Amino acid sequence: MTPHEAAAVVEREMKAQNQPISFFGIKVPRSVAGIVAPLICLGSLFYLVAHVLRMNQLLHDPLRKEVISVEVDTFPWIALYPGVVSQMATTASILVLPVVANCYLMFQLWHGNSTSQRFLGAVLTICVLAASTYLCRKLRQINKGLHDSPGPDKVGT
Amino acid sequence: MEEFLKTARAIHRGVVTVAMTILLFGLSSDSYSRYITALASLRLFDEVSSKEPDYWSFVQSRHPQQKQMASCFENVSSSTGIALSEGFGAKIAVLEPDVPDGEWRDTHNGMKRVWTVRSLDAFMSSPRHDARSLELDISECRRRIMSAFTKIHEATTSETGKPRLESADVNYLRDSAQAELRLYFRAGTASGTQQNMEAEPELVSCRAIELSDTGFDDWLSQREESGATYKRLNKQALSVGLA
Repeated sequence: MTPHEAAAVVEREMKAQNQPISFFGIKVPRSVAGIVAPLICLGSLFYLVAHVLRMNQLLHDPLRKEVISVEVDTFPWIALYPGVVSQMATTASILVLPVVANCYLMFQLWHGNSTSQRFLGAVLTICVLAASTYLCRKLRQINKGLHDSPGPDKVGT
Repeated sequence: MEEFLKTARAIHRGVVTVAMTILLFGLSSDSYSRYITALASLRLFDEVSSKEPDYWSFVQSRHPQQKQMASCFENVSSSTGIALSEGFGAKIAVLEPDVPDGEWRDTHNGMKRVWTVRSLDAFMSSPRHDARSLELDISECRRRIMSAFTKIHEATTSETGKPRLESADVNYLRDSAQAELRLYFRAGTASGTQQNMEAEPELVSCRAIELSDTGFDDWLSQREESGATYKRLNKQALSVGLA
């Protein structure tokens, strides 16, 4: 292989690597991935936070509490399951995975990014950490409320 | 309520999917930076060897891709080698003749020496190498080296009788905006076209040059005052080469 051929091989590999990254079908150029990735992650987390907060609100509504509690308690979603394993899985998927993924991406792109991109990426990653932590705490509270208090079927027994 | 919970669960899955995508992207970025380094080193070699094929050696790297590609450079004779490594950003350093068990072929001064690098990885991560390297943008490294080398070479070969630049080593020093430049000259002849291949090129070692100031001028003046044989060099051109 001559140097020119070798360069052509590397160029080809680089072009292949330069394919845009896809989030939910939206193609994002790799150059802005350091900002877009935590932004999308943060958006998804906020969306989930909004739902969890509404769920918490409904569970505290005295008129609907009992009916909703039964529904929530039996719904097949790992975040609502009792037990340490499900709680660990929830924490891993909501807190550990997004934070680690964003931190690792920042770490990888650090030297290729400009100072403003680094700053924005770092701020967004911190926001992801904050949102994830808050979400985990809220889900734990809901879970505790569902499984620690006597359910409607247990009342009076 | 069931629809509401289904939506929340779907968003939870979405968060996991996004995080996994980001993680995979982060993992693939590692090889991406390797390709950049590989390409930079190849271009560096190509650029330099096309201008002065006898001066520069092949480019080696710590990565398998580059090692493989660098194998085609084995027969290039040279007196100087550049090694690029990749940590965070690119590091550049000059490999020296005392590399143990290397694979470098060198015809410096007409003598063929073979260095076999037992483990390039070990060499690149050795404290000595590490202490002499500085994390710099690779394109900037290349620009500075090429600029310095080309201009110095032009300045020393355009007129007859001048010492001829044989080779140059450039080391960037860690934690400072300085470089160590080692210039190897051959004495000029009357015609200026033939070189005295028997004589050992004179090593002119210039340490701690500020890349942007006139420190090199001062250093050269001192050398001239001491009656060094290379005093006829175009001082201005040398300093321009480093700017």
